[in-house]
Amino acid sequence: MKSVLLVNKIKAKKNIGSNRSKYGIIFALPWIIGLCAFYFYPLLSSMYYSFTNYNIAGSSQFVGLTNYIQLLNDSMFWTGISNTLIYAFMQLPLSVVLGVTIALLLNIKIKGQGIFRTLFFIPSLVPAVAVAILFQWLLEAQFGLVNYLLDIVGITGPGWLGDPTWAKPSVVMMSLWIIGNTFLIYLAGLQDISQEYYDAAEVDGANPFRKIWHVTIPLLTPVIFFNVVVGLINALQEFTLPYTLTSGTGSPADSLMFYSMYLYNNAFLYMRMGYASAMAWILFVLIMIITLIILKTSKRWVFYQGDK
Amino acid sequence: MFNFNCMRLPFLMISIFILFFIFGCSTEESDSSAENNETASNDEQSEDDVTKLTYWHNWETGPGGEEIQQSVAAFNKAHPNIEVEPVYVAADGGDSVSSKLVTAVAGGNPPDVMLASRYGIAEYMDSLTLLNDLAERDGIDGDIYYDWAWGESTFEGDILGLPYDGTSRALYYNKDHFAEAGLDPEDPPTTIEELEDAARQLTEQEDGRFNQFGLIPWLGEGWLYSWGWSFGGEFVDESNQVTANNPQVVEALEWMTGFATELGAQNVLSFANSQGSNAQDPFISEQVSMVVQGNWVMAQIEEYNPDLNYGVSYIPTPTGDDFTTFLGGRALIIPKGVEGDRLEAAWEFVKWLSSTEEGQKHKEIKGEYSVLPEVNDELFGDIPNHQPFLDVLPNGRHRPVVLAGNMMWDELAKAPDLVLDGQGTPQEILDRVNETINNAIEQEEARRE
Repeated sequence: MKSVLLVNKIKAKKNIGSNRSKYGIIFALPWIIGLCAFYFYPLLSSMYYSFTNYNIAGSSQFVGLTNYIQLLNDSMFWTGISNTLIYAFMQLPLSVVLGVTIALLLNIKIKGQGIFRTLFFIPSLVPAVAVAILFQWLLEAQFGLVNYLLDIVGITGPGWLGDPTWAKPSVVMMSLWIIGNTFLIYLAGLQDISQEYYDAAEVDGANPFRKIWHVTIPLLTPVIFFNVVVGLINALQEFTLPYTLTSGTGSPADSLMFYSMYLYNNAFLYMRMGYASAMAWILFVLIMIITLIILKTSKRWVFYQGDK
Repeated sequence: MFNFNCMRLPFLMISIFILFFIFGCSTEESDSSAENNETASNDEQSEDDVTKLTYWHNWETGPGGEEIQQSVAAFNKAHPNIEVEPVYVAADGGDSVSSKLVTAVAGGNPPDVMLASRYGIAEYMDSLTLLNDLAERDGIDGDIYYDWAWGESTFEGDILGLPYDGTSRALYYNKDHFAEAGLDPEDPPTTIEELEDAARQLTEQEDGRFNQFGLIPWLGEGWLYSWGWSFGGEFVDESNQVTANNPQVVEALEWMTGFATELGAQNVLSFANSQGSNAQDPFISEQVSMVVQGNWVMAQIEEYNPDLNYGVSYIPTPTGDDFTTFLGGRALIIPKGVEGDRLEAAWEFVKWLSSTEEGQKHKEIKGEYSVLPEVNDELFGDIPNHQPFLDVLPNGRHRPVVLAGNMMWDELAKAPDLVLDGQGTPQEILDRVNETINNAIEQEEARRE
């Protein structure tokens, strides 16, 4: 009797073990179903639609690579790509430099540290649409506050958002204003750096700047790396700020026609969903390639604590 | 025993999920069946049944919202068997709600009637119920409407919707500025030449900064469409082929940009692009002396700067006669998928709002023009500033109805910017625009075949 019970118990344990993965799947089922229905299905169907002239409502036909070929001949497509890349290459380095600098400053133990941290984070709580409208006022060419201040110090400010050369830098400025999330991650990264390194540097007689350059920055590179990848993906998909600023027109002179804006216009304004799907996949591949390049180079400039 | 117990949990989970699904589906079903029951029971009650209609519009506040509310209330009162419920749907891209409509139609849950910007509707005509049969049955045709109203509601013989209202453009000028500059405030310019002279006299600048602009051609409603037609241009030919590079249109763009360059293109460009609206509108805040604007601006002036001493005149033309204007406006459309009784009721509502005097007289609230000539005289005939608008209404022009209307609008709207940015001469830019639009139309035609 006893032995039978024991055998039963062992069997049961075995069963629990083999059933564990089943439980896992069962518990994850709602999310798996949701992911399939609302994520993978649209994703895969957009792949299919990119080979058709789908327009949501009417009949559509398979057109092969026509959309892709046509995109390569679409001057606005190239305008969108160049605008977006120019923006990303301006915004990304600046956001790294600014984010790290702010994080370093906010990491200094001074009175009111918490207040400063809060103050710098607050802009990130403002929705992007509100930021766009706010800056529209600040950067107004004739009566804007920014040009007024520049005027006081004797500089004639440019037309900012009205001027094709200054429009993109203006948007970069806006996006840097809401950098809170980024520097928060840097700040966490800074706190992660072991005090031992600083102590060792101190013993070797390093001044604060050398400490930053030789200790802090190298050990912060994993966090910088993370922010670069995420920031790049966000920058290449920038939509809200330019769309709100120009109501989707990309004025002046197409200088704010970002890639995802042209994509949106094609999908929902010109009713060319197939064309827009093709654009989306090209953007995906583009982001993938750039991210892979960064990943490849990361071995050379990212240092993890405890690495040899 | 243990075995059984262990298996119970997964079974329990699965059955819960199955229950969830059944429950989820059944609530949906019961919702729709409740709706069906509603309509079914309404059908049973036959005579005193009420067909409920959903009416999408994108004016919630201000006089526009009031106009919607009042006209719907009047309709509901006059039609006890139909109850229209106006539903505000926020505009997306441009001033229409087309993307929401298309997705609603694709999802099988369209509104019964929608108020839409007229010029873009051909692009999504796949989502519309064509009204040819109903219109023919009830004897509705273009004869009762202005040409621009009917013309912009139809596409190659198909009636896409019935016109709802008309928005018109004219030259607004600041009478005080005219007097200060030594111009006669009661004799606004009528030829392009006079306009240029007046603009030069009215422009004041001080160390590179403009205090007052005489005229920025494309400010406000000074679209290439507005000037193109005034210059005698045509945007489509007889076969409805887009002709954005028509010689007169090129001439209009040359004039618009050339005139701006003379004033210092960069200044003008950044000024015009960073213009505000309402209280910041440069004409209302008296920074600009002359502007091509729409009739609705009169209400804004009343609200934000009632002391503004302004006059309204025709948009000048090279010859000083043959005045015309750019007429926009909205149409009432019935989405695809509205059928049976609902379609009849929706058609009744659309027909009443568009083609009857009672339906059209609410235009007074927002100050837009009726699509029926006789109503306008009644509503606006004795208001002096409306006179120049009313005079040119019969010759008003509408944007071509083509399969890429939205794209055509966007491309033409930015043409002056592109020229001033040095991306090409007016001829080159318009050649490019023309090619882009015609290519898009060709593809759309290929899809439809």
